[in-house]
Amino acid sequence: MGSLHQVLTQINGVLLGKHDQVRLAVTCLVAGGHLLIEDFPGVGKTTLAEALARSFGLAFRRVHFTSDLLPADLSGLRLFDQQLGQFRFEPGPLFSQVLLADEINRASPRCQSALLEAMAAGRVSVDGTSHELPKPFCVIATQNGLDQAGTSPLPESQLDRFAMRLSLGFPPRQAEAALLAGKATALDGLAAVIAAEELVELQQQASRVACEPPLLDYVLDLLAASRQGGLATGTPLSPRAGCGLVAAAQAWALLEERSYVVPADVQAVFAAVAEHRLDGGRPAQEPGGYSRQLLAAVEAIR
Amino acid sequence: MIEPLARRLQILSLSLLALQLLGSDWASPLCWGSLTLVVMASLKLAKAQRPADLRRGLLAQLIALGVLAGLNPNLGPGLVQAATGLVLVAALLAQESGGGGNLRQMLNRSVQLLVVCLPLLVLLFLFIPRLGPPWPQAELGRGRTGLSEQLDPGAIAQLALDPSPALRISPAQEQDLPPADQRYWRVRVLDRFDGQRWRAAPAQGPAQAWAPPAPAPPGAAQQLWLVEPSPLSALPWGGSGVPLNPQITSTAKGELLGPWQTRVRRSYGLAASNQPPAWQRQAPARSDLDFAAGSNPQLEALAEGWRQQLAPAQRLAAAQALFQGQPFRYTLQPPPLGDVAPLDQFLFASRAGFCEHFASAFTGLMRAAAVPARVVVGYQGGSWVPANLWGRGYLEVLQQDAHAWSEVWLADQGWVRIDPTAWVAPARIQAGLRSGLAGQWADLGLLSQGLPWLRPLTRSWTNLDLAWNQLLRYDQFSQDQLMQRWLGPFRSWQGLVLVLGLALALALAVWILGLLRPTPRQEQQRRRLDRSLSRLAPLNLVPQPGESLPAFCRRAAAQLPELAPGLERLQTSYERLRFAPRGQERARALELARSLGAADRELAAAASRLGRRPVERLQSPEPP
Amino acid sequence: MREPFPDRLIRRHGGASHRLGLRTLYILPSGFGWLWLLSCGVLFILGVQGSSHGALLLAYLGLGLFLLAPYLTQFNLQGLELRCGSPAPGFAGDVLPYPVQATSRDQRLALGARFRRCEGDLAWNGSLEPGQQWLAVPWRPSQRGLQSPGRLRLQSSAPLGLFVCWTLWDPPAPQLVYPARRPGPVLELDRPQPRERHQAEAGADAQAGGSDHWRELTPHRPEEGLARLAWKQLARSGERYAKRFADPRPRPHLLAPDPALPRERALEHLSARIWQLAASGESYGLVLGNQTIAAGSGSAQLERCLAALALAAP
Repeated sequence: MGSLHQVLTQINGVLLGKHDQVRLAVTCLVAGGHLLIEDFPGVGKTTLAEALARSFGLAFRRVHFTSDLLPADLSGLRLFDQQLGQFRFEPGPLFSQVLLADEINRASPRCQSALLEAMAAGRVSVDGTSHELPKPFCVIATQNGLDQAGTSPLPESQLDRFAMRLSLGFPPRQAEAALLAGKATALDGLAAVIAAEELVELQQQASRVACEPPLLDYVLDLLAASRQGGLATGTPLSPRAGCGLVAAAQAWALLEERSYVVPADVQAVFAAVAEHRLDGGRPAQEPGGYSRQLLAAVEAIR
Repeated sequence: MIEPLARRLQILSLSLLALQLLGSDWASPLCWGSLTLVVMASLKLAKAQRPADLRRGLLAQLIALGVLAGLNPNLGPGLVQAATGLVLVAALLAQESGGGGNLRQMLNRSVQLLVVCLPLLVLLFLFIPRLGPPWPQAELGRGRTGLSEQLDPGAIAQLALDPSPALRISPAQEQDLPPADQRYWRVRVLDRFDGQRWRAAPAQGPAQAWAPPAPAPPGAAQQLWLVEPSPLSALPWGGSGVPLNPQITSTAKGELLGPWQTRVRRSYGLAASNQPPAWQRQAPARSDLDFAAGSNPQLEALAEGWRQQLAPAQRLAAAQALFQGQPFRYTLQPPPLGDVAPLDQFLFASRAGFCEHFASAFTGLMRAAAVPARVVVGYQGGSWVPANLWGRGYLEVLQQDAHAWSEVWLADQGWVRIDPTAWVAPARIQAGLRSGLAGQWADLGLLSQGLPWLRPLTRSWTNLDLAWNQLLRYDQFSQDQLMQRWLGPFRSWQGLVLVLGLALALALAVWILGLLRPTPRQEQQRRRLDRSLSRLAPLNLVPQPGESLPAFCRRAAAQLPELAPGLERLQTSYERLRFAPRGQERARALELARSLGAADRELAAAASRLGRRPVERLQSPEPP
Repeated sequence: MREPFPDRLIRRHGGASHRLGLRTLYILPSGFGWLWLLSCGVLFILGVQGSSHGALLLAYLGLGLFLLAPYLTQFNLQGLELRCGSPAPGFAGDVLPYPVQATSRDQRLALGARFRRCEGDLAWNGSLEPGQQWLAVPWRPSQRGLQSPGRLRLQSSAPLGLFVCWTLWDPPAPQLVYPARRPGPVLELDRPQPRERHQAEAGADAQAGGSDHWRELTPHRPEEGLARLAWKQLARSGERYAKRFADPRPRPHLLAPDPALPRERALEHLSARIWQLAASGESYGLVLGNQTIAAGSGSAQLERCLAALALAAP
């Protein structure tokens, strides 16, 4: 667990003043989920993604999504090798441990769905052959929420595939001052704190963190509350959202160095896990509004 | 909607009822009634579409069970009946609880319910006033043998043995009773003889009224009598004493008559008196010598000889010598005597019979020998039931203790009791029927005995059964005694005591059921937490909607730093107890629970300290 | 409609949440309870008459259970908390679920919830597990508008069925009820009547004239490529035009209630027509008195139009 704290420290050195978001992002990786970062340009989305990948020592590729990106540009191609005289599979950028999908909402829906299929199944089919993706496999996508011109926003069903959505927001004044003073660590200087195999180990450890019946009751009550239109909730939470919520809470508890999950863990990750599923792409009046209402509606002392 | 489990349970209870029906006495009309109920309930169950059908079937079964309980009052059937009741309640629970739970849970819950109902049951059983049956008993197939208005020894081939109680006499102690061979409880005097049977003469003139009893000196022995319903209107008594109830009168023949109808349970008191009873000195009538001349020639011839040769007292001795000298035998299965000269037949041919035969023959002999004589029917003997749960000791006389004996008039002594049966079978008089039959296998068979190797088992079962019957012997009489002992002068408060007791027992039952409610340990922890948190409520610290425990503790500690240590402890120990897997924390569960308790005390102390202080610092919490 | 006897006397409880406690719970023996008591009486008489202690004990046991039952039944409901949800809109005449949130710390057996005003079999039945659950209590509104379903009766006779314990609550949140869907004529504004429409369509076909359905011509720019060049016009006039295409989109329906029909009837027909248009994905608008909803499609448009119908002035 010490190594996880090192990771946190290191990333916090790169991305100043964003402790909560960094912690959630690390939680997402430990929970084995995919991460969507949504915010204005220039607040450090890509920096966070890259810092995460580097700190966990993961092989990463970066793809900038544009409207003319083709699915084959992601998954790879079957090429005819003149020398061998046969077809050969040339793997695309999907075949990495971390795929940084920049500006995912700029790509065509076809391309998005190819990516999301890979995210869900952990394998890619090209010309009828299926190719396993490496483990761990994680997509960190960024999305520019402000500039909607010429974009294809992710539909609700595909938003559901992302375990968490974070928005960074502007840094606090002191952090920004430090940034301007050049006190932030450069991305290039980041070394891997944790090896990829260690991350797999941590992911397994997180899945073993205990969830006792009272806690599961709490999660179930949250899910039920989202499904019963009793509040101004958007889309109801899916069972996948429930699984993601529990997994994220487990990872959070692991970061807190506890061997069991308490409702406070669920509350800590709830907005990140649930909000993008609740609003279905149409943000509430105030950020995190839906999840806050849900949390307030369900008794948390269990 | 009908729950399948409820249907299955009802099938089970129906089969239990059928089993009991098989073991019942089919001669009783009640048995047929209960069979009808069971069949109706089965049909209802088979065709049941709605829950209401099932409920009515259940009620039919309940009543059938009650009827069967009346038919088979012993311990063994009682246990089966209790099981049936249990299954019925479980069937009700299964139907009404909306299909949750399996067979075992339902039976479990049913047992719980019945157990908590026990105090209520006992209270109702003890305190609800005992009533006599509102209608004549015979309707319920419980006609009791024992005494009848007439005696026809020739017609009876076999005497039914009825072990049900006939009467109870409650003296303070057993010593107050006459010795075992003197326990003759007279009921009816039969003084008309037609050559075959004895019957009572119609009452002549008004019955003699007693002088109002002299106020009994304090401490004078009193007897309390309780008589079960019987076909005779005359009351049993020992022959002497003064009734406490002035409505009770005595006839010249020494019969006691009360103001009651026949066939109700009667209870009355007798005070001991020093004077010999008046009936004993009442001179015989002419009819006391009437022996229907010519009906039993042999007997008449023998008596004629005695009359001519012997003085009255010697005629008695001659009769005793006759009964003891000849091979007379006491049996419950005498050969029939026929219509012609039955007494001759008995005295000179069969010489086997029971009390009625002996009493008839002896009385006939005496009359033929010109000694005024008559037959008295009543009870003889009885067994002492020591003081028990329900009250003081008493003498219990059973229907099978019915007896017949003779009285002869001797000028110097008045009416004297003579029991010819005692000459033949002294043990019958000394120690009861069973001893009187010693060695007669056929008769003992009537009083069934088990296999030898089973005997210890049978005996302990019999003892249990006896204890059960003792317990159920609680009736009007025992109730009177018990209430007298418990409430004394406040008898009229019986109803109030019952109501208060019921309220108490209900509260107890509800409390126990609350405890038995399936609350897992976790719920208990939760309640402890709630209690701890409620201590902070007066300080305006209440969890916000959706606020988690750590968040609440942080907020509270920020507002009132004095609470911080207690809250910290509360939070950590509670979360460990509740959310940590049992495997990891089991060893520490006790320690954690203790820590939770300590945190609670700490909080309570801090809260009460703070509560006493002026509270300008406490504002209402801000929304999160 | 008058309420049945005991409920008529009971004060109304409103409020967004309703806690079941001593003040809000009522209890009486059920029909089966009276029968049960009668059976106990029969058993008692049997016991007294036959001097049978078994029957007497059974009668007392029945009486004991009868005395215990009201407490058990009340405990089954006590402490339950009901809260009003925000009900989803629906059509008049349909069975609509009215959401009620139930919060309980204990298990609750065999509950039944129904609205007093509703006929016969419309009820929610079931048991509640510990935690929060939603009961969807069905009711059938007969009129459009913001309707309150009226008095909710939540009752239970578990665990023995001898007593029935109930509570009455008027959930305050009204449910938006659209007019019932009844197919029939509606007025279509700004749209040719059937005969004219036929002619117009024929004309449009004639105008298309060729294989490609272009909408307009604009001066051709080089980057538009040759595919869009209007060759026919080039050949005819020598000028380069680019074809602009458009989907052959039908004109939107602009609906209004038929003034020839009674108002409510006309609204019901509108409701049916809008539903049908929405199902086939067409676009439509609505004119109701001085309120106009511009044409559009999709679920938001459907909701908007139906809500306008529901709340339209009579």
